[in-house]
Amino acid sequence: MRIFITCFLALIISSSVQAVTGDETIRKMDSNMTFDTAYIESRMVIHVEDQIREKRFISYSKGRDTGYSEFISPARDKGVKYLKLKDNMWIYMPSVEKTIKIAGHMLRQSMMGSDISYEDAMESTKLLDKYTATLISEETVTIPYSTGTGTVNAKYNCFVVDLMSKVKEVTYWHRRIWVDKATYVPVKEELFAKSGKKLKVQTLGNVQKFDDRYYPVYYTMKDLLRANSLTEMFITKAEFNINMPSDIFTERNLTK
Amino acid sequence: MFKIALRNIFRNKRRSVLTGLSIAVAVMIAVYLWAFFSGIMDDLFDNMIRLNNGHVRILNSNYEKRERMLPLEANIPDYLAVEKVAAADPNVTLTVGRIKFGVLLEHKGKNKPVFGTGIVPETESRISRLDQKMVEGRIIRPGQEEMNIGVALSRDLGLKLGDTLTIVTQTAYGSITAMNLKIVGIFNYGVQSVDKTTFFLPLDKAQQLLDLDDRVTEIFVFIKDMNKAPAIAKNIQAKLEEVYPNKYTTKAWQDQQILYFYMVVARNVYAGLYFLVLFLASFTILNTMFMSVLERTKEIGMMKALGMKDRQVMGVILLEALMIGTIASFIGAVWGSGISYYLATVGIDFTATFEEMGTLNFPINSVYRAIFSWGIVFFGFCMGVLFSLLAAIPPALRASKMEPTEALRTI
Repeated sequence: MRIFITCFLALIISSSVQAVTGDETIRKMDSNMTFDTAYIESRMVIHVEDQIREKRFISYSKGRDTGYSEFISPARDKGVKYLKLKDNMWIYMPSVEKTIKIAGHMLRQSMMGSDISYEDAMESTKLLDKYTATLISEETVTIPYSTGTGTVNAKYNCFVVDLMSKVKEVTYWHRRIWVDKATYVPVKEELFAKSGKKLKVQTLGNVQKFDDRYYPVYYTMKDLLRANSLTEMFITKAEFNINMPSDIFTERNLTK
Repeated sequence: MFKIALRNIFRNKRRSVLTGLSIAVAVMIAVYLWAFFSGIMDDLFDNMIRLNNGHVRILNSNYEKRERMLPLEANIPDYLAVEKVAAADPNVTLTVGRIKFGVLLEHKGKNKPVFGTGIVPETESRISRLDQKMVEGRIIRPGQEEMNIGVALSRDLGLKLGDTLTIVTQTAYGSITAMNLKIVGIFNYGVQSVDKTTFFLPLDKAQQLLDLDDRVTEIFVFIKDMNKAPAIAKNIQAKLEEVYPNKYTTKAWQDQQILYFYMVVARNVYAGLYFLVLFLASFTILNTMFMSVLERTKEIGMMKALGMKDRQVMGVILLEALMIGTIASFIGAVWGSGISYYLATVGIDFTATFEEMGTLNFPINSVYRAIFSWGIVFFGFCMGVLFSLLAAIPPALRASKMEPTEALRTI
């Protein structure tokens, strides 16, 4: 009898915990944020000190590890193309008509002068492959987002999940993610170094419904190691689960 | 007394000539050394100022703190307006913007970390005389995707005139950027640290490459009298402060580099060397004078016995030294000035030596030119006379202290 009660209690406890574990939260978030295929048009606004730079690009993506982007403005960046295949990334520079593979120390450099590094842009593996998730609290947070014409202060009821690295070769040893309970969108994420120093903060906002999923069309990334710097991204057009030609994701397509 | 001294000099010609010769050689070496080192020092100054600093340099205050990292993001926006503020000072003769950045230059599997410098070709000729330093090809032209590289760098990477290199680097905002640059000229400053690690490209192209439109990382200011640089730097700083508070820092060449400190040390070391040579030479004089006193012990004893006073004996010997010293110093000075004049016009080529030594991070020309000046020659002459006189004092004292009876007894 006692054994039965113990087992029963254990079952209740484990199942109730399971409902809102960190793992579960991250898994749901991942599946919400990943699409089979996507076509996205974006506007990137980079604020550095007193300067504002705006860049527009289009991107195609397939799953989480295949992607292609092409910059269409300004003139300086027009025709710069990126290709991501699994853990590799290439950049095509039209000014010299050359394709350069981004590897090694270059991965941590800024992409197009933004607060986003190549590594951030390339992240393709599921978070749970590299990190152990722990639900640490539930919190209501207010995160502003820009619609391009004005700012909205959005309130989210969130799970706060801590991710600690399981493997050695990660840039962000520790991450803390605020996942909106209603939409499973990670509305805020803080990225830390092994030393505990906070490196970057990203936020997502202006969550829109696409078919049966929620997707944010506003994104910010702040690299705290850069003085007075912030990158905003506005998704101006998004199409999901569309058919796309397979030769988009080839190195040859870069030089076309 | 004068007559006695003169007679003494001519009585033992060999001895006098020997003493005179040692003085002359010492003076010659001293004059030549001084001219030679002044030449090196002046070259050092000249190169350092022209290539690295200008007389006064204007920087973004944040750039100054991390200059070793070449932080492009800490730049000078709308630099022409900043130049204008500096140029308003009546002492300023020229202002020019530059961009210095780091890049890994690759060619046929070889690579080298080098410094790219964006320059205004027309003014650069006035600053570092780039146009005169070209050994092949021509100077870069504004608006063209061209580069000038150092002769040593071209050799190290196996590059030649007409080759096109792809420069891949980061913009001021950290994104990857690339440009194809054609080598239109190869320069030789004779300064190893420059010839081995520098290439020049037009400023406008550097701005385009690095996403620094209308911006530079440093402004060189040249003034009429470079010795007034600290005061003028302060003046420009104050003016900049009015327009752009807490934004920029000005640095006079005097407080710009640790090199200046080395130069002060080097100057002192050279001055020390100079006096050492004269000091050693004075020992020879001392020795010969002692010898001549000893040889003449009997004679001095005789003179003393005949009623010559201690002071007069001393006077004779000192006068003798003074005469030899003056004549010898004059000859030495003439020789020395001849050598320094030759070195000033022709120079010594140390290029091969420096090649073997590897990169010298010291802006010294591979061809040394001495500085010829009458001041140096006159100074050398005076030193020669002074030292011969000083060296004659101990033997003269000794001679004057001799007892006539004792002296006469010697052979």
